[in-house]
Amino acid sequence: MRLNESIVISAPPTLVWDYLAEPSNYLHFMSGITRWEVAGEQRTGLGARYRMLIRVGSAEVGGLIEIVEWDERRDMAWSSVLGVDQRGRWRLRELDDGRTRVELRFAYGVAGSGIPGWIAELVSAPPLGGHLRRSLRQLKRQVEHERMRADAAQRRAERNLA
Amino acid sequence: MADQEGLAEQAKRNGGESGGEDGALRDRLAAFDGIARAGGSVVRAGQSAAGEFAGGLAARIRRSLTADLDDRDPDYIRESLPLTWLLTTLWFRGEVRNMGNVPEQGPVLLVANHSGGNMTPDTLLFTLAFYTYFGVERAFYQLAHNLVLASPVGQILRRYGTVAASPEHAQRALDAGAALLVYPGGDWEVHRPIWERHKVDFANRQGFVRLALDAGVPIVPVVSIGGQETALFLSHGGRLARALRVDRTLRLNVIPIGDGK
Repeated sequence: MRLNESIVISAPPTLVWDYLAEPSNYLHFMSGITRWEVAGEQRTGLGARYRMLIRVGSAEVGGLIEIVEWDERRDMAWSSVLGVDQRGRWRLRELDDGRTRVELRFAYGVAGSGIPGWIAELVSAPPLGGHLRRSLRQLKRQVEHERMRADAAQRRAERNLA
Repeated sequence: MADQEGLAEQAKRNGGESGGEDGALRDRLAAFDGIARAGGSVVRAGQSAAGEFAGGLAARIRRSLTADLDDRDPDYIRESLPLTWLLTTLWFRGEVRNMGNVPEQGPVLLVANHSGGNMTPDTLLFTLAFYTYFGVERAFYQLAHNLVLASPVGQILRRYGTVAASPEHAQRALDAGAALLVYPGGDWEVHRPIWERHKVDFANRQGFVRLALDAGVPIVPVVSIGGQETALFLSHGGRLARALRVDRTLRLNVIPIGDGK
């Protein structure tokens, strides 16, 4: 099953990317996430691994994931190493007015699970889609809030200089 | 003489030898002997089939009660997780919280109360929660009653890591560094009357404490709520079980009166 959600954030891609690249932020803006921990020495970047879990129905589902694509300020993709099969992607694209279109793609399933697996994917799609939509809304709120704080700090600094 | 010659010819036609009156008698008996042999073969074949069936059944029961930890099949568990998830999410609508209290690695004894009659939702739900939380790679075993493992679903449960309940099997699982789920209340607790549905009743069984002390592993209590509402029992039927001596022959301490599928 593949899910796809997107949102436009009033901030440049750099700001969005910085927020997404920091693993400690995921517990704050990702809906349904009950665990997002760095696994191993590498904290961020290509090859970084995280242990993540998301509540879907009666279980917390997830596993160990690894960042497999890292194109700064544009694309970040991950794939599962252990647990439920999953692939995900953050896709950031700058709009003409300086804002950023953020797309979250998420594909999941359990290879070899047959018809029950297919039914489970269909049943779990609506709640998971809801999690993705809420996550994007919370990301937008957090990043735009960060931008307002950054702008305010800059204005203060300019006033002090003047 | 003529009769003798006739009999001799008949004996030859039958493939026997002629030897006078004795030979004729032998030839006549030979036919019966053939029938008897054929009958004996049928009986032996029947005995053999019955023996094979009984032997196969006994071997199956023996095997189901043997704790072969290698029967746990992570690939099978992984592939059947979606079905378990569907059952627990859509049918039982259960939820497991605070899995983070279970140690991340190493042997651990999970001691739980048991509810829901023969179709226990708590086992299904907790097993799913454990495997989705820690991954199917982590060794996890569950102790179950002999009759559960000898039932038709026993084969599936063995692949999920279920072994027959005994101190030896439990010790072996913990020695292997696995997480082990035990239900001290067992058949007694799972068949408790509906008015005791909110009660934890281990029937004074405390063997799990000795097990944890001997193995030097932590105990993590697991409490399930609501499982007994999927069944309706009016009595354990403990006296009936003792009267019928199934407590000794089948290790069954209850013959529950009610409906618990």
